[in-house]
Amino acid sequence: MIATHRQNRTYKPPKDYCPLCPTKKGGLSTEVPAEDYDIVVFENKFPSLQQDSPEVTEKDSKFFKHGKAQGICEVVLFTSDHDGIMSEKPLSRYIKLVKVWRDRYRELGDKDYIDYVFIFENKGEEVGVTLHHPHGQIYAYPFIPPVIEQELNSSKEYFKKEGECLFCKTLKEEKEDGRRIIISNDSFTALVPFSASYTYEVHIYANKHLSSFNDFSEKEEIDLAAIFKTILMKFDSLFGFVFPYIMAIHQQATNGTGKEYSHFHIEFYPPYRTKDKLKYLAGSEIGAGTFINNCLPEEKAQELRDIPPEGIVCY
Amino acid sequence: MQIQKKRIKKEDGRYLIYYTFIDETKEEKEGRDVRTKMESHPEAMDNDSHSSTEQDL
Repeated sequence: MIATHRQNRTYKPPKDYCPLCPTKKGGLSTEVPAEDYDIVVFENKFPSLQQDSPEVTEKDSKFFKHGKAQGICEVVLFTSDHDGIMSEKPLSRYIKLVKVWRDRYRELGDKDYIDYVFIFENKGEEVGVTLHHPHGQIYAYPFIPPVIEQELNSSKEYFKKEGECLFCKTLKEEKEDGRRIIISNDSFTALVPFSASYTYEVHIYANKHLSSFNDFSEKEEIDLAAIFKTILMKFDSLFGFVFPYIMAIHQQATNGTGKEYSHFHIEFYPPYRTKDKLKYLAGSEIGAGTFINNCLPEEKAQELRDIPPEGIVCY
Repeated sequence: MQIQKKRIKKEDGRYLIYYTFIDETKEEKEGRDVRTKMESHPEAMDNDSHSSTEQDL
Protein backbone atom coordinates (compact mmCIF):
# COMPACT_ATOMS: atom_id res chain seq x y z
CA MET A 1 0.00 0.00 0.00
CA ILE A 2 1.29 3.45 -0.81
CA ALA A 3 0.10 6.24 1.53
CA THR A 4 2.20 9.33 0.86
CA HIS A 5 0.24 11.55 3.28
CA ARG A 6 1.58 9.46 6.18
CA GLN A 7 5.04 10.92 5.60
CA ASN A 8 3.86 14.03 7.48
CA ARG A 9 2.15 12.31 10.42
CA THR A 10 2.74 13.43 14.01
CA TYR A 11 6.22 12.40 15.06
CA LYS A 12 7.23 12.03 18.72
CA PRO A 13 5.45 15.11 20.07
CA PRO A 14 6.39 16.40 23.55
CA LYS A 15 4.30 14.97 26.37
CA ASP A 16 2.39 18.25 26.79
CA TYR A 17 1.18 18.02 23.19
CA CYS A 18 0.22 14.36 23.08
CA PRO A 19 -2.71 14.08 20.64
CA LEU A 20 -3.93 10.91 22.37
CA CYS A 21 -4.40 12.48 25.82
CA PRO A 22 -7.78 13.87 26.87
CA THR A 23 -8.41 17.54 26.02
CA LYS A 24 -7.83 19.52 29.19
CA LYS A 25 -9.99 22.56 29.93
CA GLY A 26 -8.24 25.59 28.49
CA GLY A 27 -5.63 23.33 26.87
CA LEU A 28 -4.92 22.44 23.30
CA SER A 29 -7.43 20.26 21.48
CA THR A 30 -6.39 16.66 21.14
CA GLU A 31 -7.95 13.76 19.28
CA VAL A 32 -10.27 13.17 22.25
CA PRO A 33 -12.62 16.07 23.09
CA ALA A 34 -13.25 15.00 26.68
CA GLU A 35 -11.58 15.66 30.01
CA ASP A 36 -11.09 11.97 30.60
CA TYR A 37 -11.94 8.63 29.06
CA ASP A 38 -11.80 4.93 29.71
CA ILE A 39 -11.08 3.33 26.32
CA VAL A 40 -11.48 5.25 23.06
CA VAL A 41 -11.42 4.18 19.43
CA PHE A 42 -11.18 6.64 16.55
CA GLU A 43 -10.37 6.73 12.87
CA ASN A 44 -6.69 7.28 12.23
CA LYS A 45 -5.93 10.84 11.10
CA PHE A 46 -3.30 9.48 8.72
CA PRO A 47 -4.94 6.30 7.45
CA SER A 48 -3.38 3.86 5.03
CA LEU A 49 -6.91 2.75 4.11
CA GLN A 50 -10.07 4.87 4.01
CA GLN A 51 -13.79 4.11 3.84
CA ASP A 52 -14.22 6.73 1.14
CA SER A 53 -10.90 6.20 -0.49
CA PRO A 54 -9.92 8.55 -3.31
CA GLU A 55 -10.37 7.34 -6.85
CA VAL A 56 -7.23 6.17 -8.55
CA THR A 57 -6.06 8.86 -10.94
CA GLU A 58 -3.04 7.05 -12.29
CA LYS A 59 -3.76 4.99 -15.38
CA ASP A 60 -2.95 1.29 -15.45
CA SER A 61 -0.40 0.15 -17.96
CA LYS A 62 -0.66 -3.26 -19.57
CA PHE A 63 1.66 -4.50 -16.84
CA PHE A 64 1.25 -2.26 -13.76
CA LYS A 65 -2.17 -2.11 -12.12
CA HIS A 66 -3.61 0.17 -9.41
CA GLY A 67 -6.36 -0.37 -6.89
CA LYS A 68 -8.34 1.76 -4.43
CA ALA A 69 -7.12 1.73 -0.82
CA GLN A 70 -10.57 1.14 0.62
CA GLY A 71 -10.70 0.00 4.22
CA ILE A 72 -10.59 1.43 7.74
CA CYS A 73 -7.71 2.32 10.05
CA GLU A 74 -8.53 2.83 13.71
CA VAL A 75 -6.53 3.83 16.78
CA VAL A 76 -7.40 2.20 20.11
CA LEU A 77 -6.47 4.19 23.23
CA PHE A 78 -5.90 1.71 26.04
CA THR A 79 -6.06 4.31 28.83
CA SER A 80 -6.16 8.08 29.31
CA ASP A 81 -3.00 7.77 31.43
CA HIS A 82 -0.20 9.01 29.18
CA ASP A 83 2.58 7.51 31.27
CA GLY A 84 0.63 4.40 32.17
CA ILE A 85 2.53 1.14 32.05
CA MET A 86 0.17 -1.55 30.87
CA SER A 87 1.76 -4.35 32.87
CA GLU A 88 0.95 -2.34 36.02
CA LYS A 89 -2.69 -1.85 35.11
CA PRO A 90 -5.31 -4.02 36.82
CA LEU A 91 -6.74 -7.08 35.15
CA SER A 92 -10.04 -5.27 34.60
CA ARG A 93 -8.34 -2.92 32.12
CA TYR A 94 -7.32 -5.89 30.02
CA ILE A 95 -10.83 -7.36 30.20
CA LYS A 96 -12.18 -4.04 28.93
CA LEU A 97 -9.65 -4.03 26.13
CA VAL A 98 -10.57 -7.57 25.07
CA LYS A 99 -14.23 -6.52 25.01
CA VAL A 100 -13.40 -3.52 22.81
CA TRP A 101 -11.31 -5.65 20.46
CA ARG A 102 -14.22 -8.10 20.17
CA ASP A 103 -16.61 -5.27 19.40
CA ARG A 104 -14.33 -3.78 16.74
CA TYR A 105 -13.76 -7.19 15.12
CA ARG A 106 -17.51 -7.70 14.86
CA GLU A 107 -18.44 -4.20 13.70
CA LEU A 108 -15.67 -3.76 11.15
CA GLY A 109 -15.93 -7.35 9.96
CA ASP A 110 -19.64 -6.90 9.24
CA LYS A 111 -18.85 -4.44 6.45
CA ASP A 112 -19.11 -6.10 3.07
CA TYR A 113 -15.90 -4.56 1.70
CA ILE A 114 -13.77 -5.76 4.63
CA ASP A 115 -12.15 -9.19 4.36
CA TYR A 116 -9.81 -9.07 7.33
CA VAL A 117 -9.76 -7.18 10.65
CA PHE A 118 -6.20 -7.01 11.88
CA ILE A 119 -5.71 -5.92 15.50
CA PHE A 120 -2.16 -5.05 16.49
CA GLU A 121 0.09 -3.01 18.75
CA ASN A 122 3.47 -1.46 18.07
CA LYS A 123 5.10 -0.75 21.42
CA GLY A 124 8.32 1.18 21.93
CA GLU A 125 10.53 3.42 19.82
CA GLU A 126 12.58 0.34 18.93
CA VAL A 127 9.74 -0.81 16.68
CA GLY A 128 9.07 2.64 15.25
CA VAL A 129 6.44 4.03 17.61
CA THR A 130 6.00 7.80 17.18
CA LEU A 131 3.37 8.38 19.92
CA HIS A 132 4.19 7.11 23.39
CA HIS A 133 0.67 7.17 24.81
CA PRO A 134 -0.48 3.53 25.35
CA HIS A 135 -2.41 2.59 22.23
CA GLY A 136 -2.89 -0.03 19.57
CA GLN A 137 -4.27 -0.04 16.06
CA ILE A 138 -6.74 -1.86 13.86
CA TYR A 139 -6.47 -2.17 10.10
CA ALA A 140 -9.60 -3.42 8.36
CA TYR A 141 -8.33 -4.62 4.98
CA PRO A 142 -10.31 -5.26 1.80
CA PHE A 143 -8.20 -8.40 1.36
CA ILE A 144 -6.49 -11.00 3.55
CA PRO A 145 -2.95 -9.68 4.20
CA PRO A 146 -0.19 -11.90 2.76
CA VAL A 147 1.42 -13.20 5.98
CA ILE A 148 -1.96 -14.20 7.34
CA GLU A 149 -3.08 -15.58 3.99
CA GLN A 150 -0.03 -17.83 3.85
CA GLU A 151 -0.67 -18.97 7.41
CA LEU A 152 -4.33 -19.70 6.64
CA ASN A 153 -3.45 -21.49 3.41
CA SER A 154 -1.04 -23.75 5.29
CA SER A 155 -3.71 -24.52 7.86
CA LYS A 156 -6.28 -25.13 5.12
CA GLU A 157 -3.95 -27.52 3.33
CA TYR A 158 -3.24 -29.38 6.58
CA PHE A 159 -6.93 -29.56 7.36
CA LYS A 160 -7.68 -31.04 3.93
CA LYS A 161 -4.97 -33.66 4.36
CA GLU A 162 -5.36 -34.52 8.06
CA GLY A 163 -8.87 -33.37 8.92
CA GLU A 164 -7.56 -31.30 11.82
CA CYS A 165 -6.76 -27.64 12.45
CA LEU A 166 -3.01 -27.06 12.14
CA PHE A 167 -2.99 -24.86 15.25
CA CYS A 168 -4.91 -27.39 17.36
CA LYS A 169 -2.35 -29.98 16.29
CA THR A 170 0.59 -27.65 16.97
CA LEU A 171 -0.69 -26.89 20.46
CA LYS A 172 -1.20 -30.59 21.15
CA GLU A 173 2.40 -31.30 20.10
CA GLU A 174 3.73 -28.35 22.11
CA LYS A 175 1.89 -29.56 25.22
CA GLU A 176 3.22 -33.08 24.77
CA ASP A 177 6.77 -31.76 24.47
CA GLY A 178 6.26 -29.15 27.18
CA ARG A 179 9.67 -27.47 26.99
CA ARG A 180 8.47 -24.35 25.18
CA ILE A 181 5.31 -23.79 27.21
CA ILE A 182 5.50 -20.71 29.43
CA ILE A 183 2.17 -20.69 31.15
CA SER A 184 -1.46 -21.66 30.62
CA ASN A 185 -4.95 -21.33 32.05
CA ASP A 186 -8.27 -23.01 31.24
CA SER A 187 -8.64 -21.29 27.89
CA PHE A 188 -5.20 -20.21 26.62
CA THR A 189 -1.57 -21.31 26.48
CA ALA A 190 1.46 -19.05 26.09
CA LEU A 191 4.59 -20.53 24.53
CA VAL A 192 7.76 -19.78 22.63
CA PRO A 193 7.08 -21.43 19.27
CA PHE A 194 9.20 -24.31 17.97
CA SER A 195 10.36 -22.18 15.05
CA ALA A 196 10.63 -18.83 16.87
CA SER A 197 12.07 -16.06 14.71
CA TYR A 198 12.80 -13.73 17.60
CA THR A 199 14.58 -14.50 20.88
CA TYR A 200 11.60 -13.67 23.08
CA GLU A 201 8.85 -14.42 20.57
CA VAL A 202 5.73 -15.56 22.40
CA HIS A 203 2.46 -16.89 21.02
CA ILE A 204 -0.77 -17.23 22.95
CA TYR A 205 -3.01 -19.97 21.54
CA ALA A 206 -6.63 -20.65 22.37
CA ASN A 207 -6.74 -24.11 23.97
CA LYS A 208 -9.85 -25.11 22.06
CA HIS A 209 -10.71 -24.32 18.50
CA LEU A 210 -11.89 -20.71 18.74
CA SER A 211 -11.68 -19.34 15.23
CA SER A 212 -12.17 -15.70 16.21
CA PHE A 213 -13.36 -13.28 18.88
CA ASN A 214 -16.90 -14.14 17.76
CA ASP A 215 -16.53 -17.56 19.40
CA PHE A 216 -15.47 -16.21 22.80
CA SER A 217 -17.40 -16.77 26.02
CA GLU A 218 -17.17 -14.31 28.91
CA LYS A 219 -14.80 -16.68 30.72
CA GLU A 220 -12.55 -16.79 27.67
CA GLU A 221 -12.44 -12.98 27.63
CA ILE A 222 -11.24 -12.99 31.22
CA ASP A 223 -8.77 -15.83 30.64
CA LEU A 224 -7.27 -14.05 27.64
CA ALA A 225 -6.97 -10.83 29.63
CA ALA A 226 -5.22 -12.70 32.46
CA ILE A 227 -2.66 -14.49 30.31
CA PHE A 228 -2.03 -11.34 28.24
CA LYS A 229 -1.31 -9.32 31.38
CA THR A 230 0.88 -12.11 32.79
CA ILE A 231 3.04 -12.17 29.64
CA LEU A 232 3.42 -8.37 29.72
CA MET A 233 4.47 -8.54 33.38
CA LYS A 234 7.02 -11.21 32.57
CA PHE A 235 8.35 -9.17 29.62
CA ASP A 236 8.73 -6.07 31.81
CA SER A 237 10.46 -8.13 34.53
CA LEU A 238 13.14 -9.40 32.15
CA PHE A 239 15.49 -6.43 31.94
CA GLY A 240 14.02 -3.76 34.19
CA PHE A 241 12.43 -1.66 31.47
CA VAL A 242 9.14 -1.68 29.60
CA PHE A 243 9.70 -4.32 26.98
CA PRO A 244 8.92 -3.21 23.42
CA TYR A 245 7.20 -5.54 20.99
CA ILE A 246 5.00 -5.89 17.95
CA MET A 247 1.79 -7.70 18.87
CA ALA A 248 -0.46 -9.24 16.22
CA ILE A 249 -3.83 -10.94 16.66
CA HIS A 250 -4.52 -13.63 14.07
CA GLN A 251 -8.00 -15.06 13.65
CA GLN A 252 -10.60 -15.92 11.05
CA ALA A 253 -11.04 -13.71 8.01
CA THR A 254 -14.28 -11.75 8.16
CA ASN A 255 -15.22 -12.74 4.62
CA GLY A 256 -16.67 -15.88 6.17
CA THR A 257 -14.06 -18.36 4.96
CA GLY A 258 -12.00 -20.84 6.92
CA LYS A 259 -13.76 -21.25 10.24
CA GLU A 260 -12.59 -24.86 10.57
CA TYR A 261 -8.90 -24.04 10.03
CA SER A 262 -8.59 -20.51 11.49
CA HIS A 263 -7.47 -20.57 15.11
CA PHE A 264 -7.41 -17.51 17.35
CA HIS A 265 -3.94 -16.69 18.56
CA ILE A 266 -1.74 -13.74 19.50
CA GLU A 267 1.86 -13.30 18.41
CA PHE A 268 4.40 -11.10 20.22
CA TYR A 269 7.61 -10.09 18.46
CA PRO A 270 9.95 -8.27 20.90
CA PRO A 271 13.00 -6.74 19.18
CA TYR A 272 15.45 -7.22 22.08
CA ARG A 273 17.61 -10.34 22.05
CA THR A 274 19.54 -9.32 25.18
CA LYS A 275 19.20 -6.45 27.64
CA ASP A 276 21.15 -4.13 25.35
CA LYS A 277 21.09 -5.75 21.92
CA LEU A 278 18.39 -5.56 19.30
CA LYS A 279 17.53 -8.09 16.63
CA TYR A 280 17.85 -6.45 13.23
CA LEU A 281 16.30 -7.78 10.08
CA ALA A 282 19.15 -8.06 7.60
CA GLY A 283 20.18 -10.01 4.51
CA SER A 284 18.81 -13.43 5.32
CA GLU A 285 15.61 -12.10 6.88
CA ILE A 286 14.72 -9.35 4.40
CA GLY A 287 16.45 -10.67 1.31
CA ALA A 288 15.63 -14.35 1.69
CA GLY A 289 12.78 -14.52 4.20
CA THR A 290 14.81 -16.75 6.50
CA PHE A 291 15.08 -15.69 10.13
CA ILE A 292 18.16 -16.52 12.15
CA ASN A 293 17.45 -16.88 15.86
CA ASN A 294 20.56 -16.79 18.08
CA CYS A 295 18.87 -18.52 21.01
CA LEU A 296 17.14 -21.80 21.73
CA PRO A 297 13.37 -21.39 22.12
CA GLU A 298 13.45 -24.01 24.91
CA GLU A 299 15.91 -21.92 26.97
CA LYS A 300 13.97 -18.70 26.45
CA ALA A 301 10.73 -20.41 27.46
CA GLN A 302 12.45 -21.59 30.64
CA GLU A 303 13.67 -18.04 31.30
CA LEU A 304 10.15 -16.67 30.83
CA ARG A 305 8.69 -19.41 33.03
CA ASP A 306 11.14 -18.53 35.80
CA ILE A 307 10.72 -14.77 35.66
CA PRO A 308 7.97 -13.32 37.92
CA PRO A 309 5.07 -13.48 38.19
CA GLU A 310 4.74 -17.15 38.99
CA GLY A 311 1.42 -18.42 37.71
CA ILE A 312 -1.34 -16.47 35.99
CA VAL A 313 -2.19 -13.15 37.59
CA CYS A 314 -5.80 -12.58 38.62
CA TYR A 315 -5.69 -9.01 39.92
CA MET B 1 -18.83 -6.29 33.03
CA GLN B 2 -21.10 -4.62 30.51
CA ILE B 3 -19.80 -2.58 27.62
CA GLN B 4 -21.38 0.66 26.41
CA LYS B 5 -20.32 2.87 23.55
CA LYS B 6 -21.04 6.39 22.47
CA ARG B 7 -20.11 7.48 18.97
CA ILE B 8 -19.41 11.05 17.93
CA LYS B 9 -18.42 12.65 14.68
CA LYS B 10 -15.31 14.79 14.81
CA GLU B 11 -15.07 18.14 13.05
CA ASP B 12 -13.17 16.63 10.17
CA GLY B 13 -15.77 13.90 9.71
CA ARG B 14 -13.92 11.05 11.38
CA TYR B 15 -15.75 9.01 14.01
CA LEU B 16 -14.67 8.53 17.61
CA ILE B 17 -16.17 6.01 20.02
CA TYR B 18 -16.11 6.33 23.81
CA TYR B 19 -16.27 2.93 25.48
CA THR B 20 -17.45 2.76 29.05
CA PHE B 21 -18.04 -0.26 31.26
CA ILE B 22 -20.37 -1.13 34.05
CA ASP B 23 -18.46 -3.32 36.43
CA GLU B 24 -20.64 -4.91 39.05
CA THR B 25 -17.62 -6.30 40.87
CA LYS B 26 -15.89 -2.88 41.18
CA GLU B 27 -12.67 -4.75 40.56
CA GLU B 28 -10.66 -1.93 39.05
CA LYS B 29 -8.85 0.23 41.55
CA GLU B 30 -8.14 3.09 39.16
CA GLY B 31 -11.21 4.47 40.74
CA ARG B 32 -12.80 7.06 38.48
CA ASP B 33 -15.96 6.90 36.50
CA VAL B 34 -15.09 8.82 33.36
CA ARG B 35 -18.66 8.91 32.05
CA THR B 36 -19.45 12.00 34.09
CA LYS B 37 -16.41 13.84 32.77
CA MET B 38 -17.21 12.92 29.18
CA GLU B 39 -20.66 14.45 29.53
CA SER B 40 -19.04 17.67 30.73
CA HIS B 41 -18.04 18.31 27.12
CA PRO B 42 -21.53 18.17 25.56
CA GLU B 43 -20.58 20.68 22.89
CA ALA B 44 -18.21 18.11 21.46
CA MET B 45 -20.88 15.46 21.16
CA ASP B 46 -22.80 14.82 18.01
CA ASN B 47 -26.53 15.10 18.67
CA ASP B 48 -26.97 11.81 16.91
CA SER B 49 -24.68 10.03 19.33
CA HIS B 50 -26.09 7.00 21.02
CA SER B 51 -24.83 4.30 23.30
CA SER B 52 -25.72 0.80 22.36
CA THR B 53 -27.37 0.96 18.94
CA GLU B 54 -24.73 1.88 16.41
CA GLN B 55 -24.92 3.49 13.00
CA ASP B 56 -22.18 4.03 10.48
CA LEU B 57 -21.11 7.62 10.13
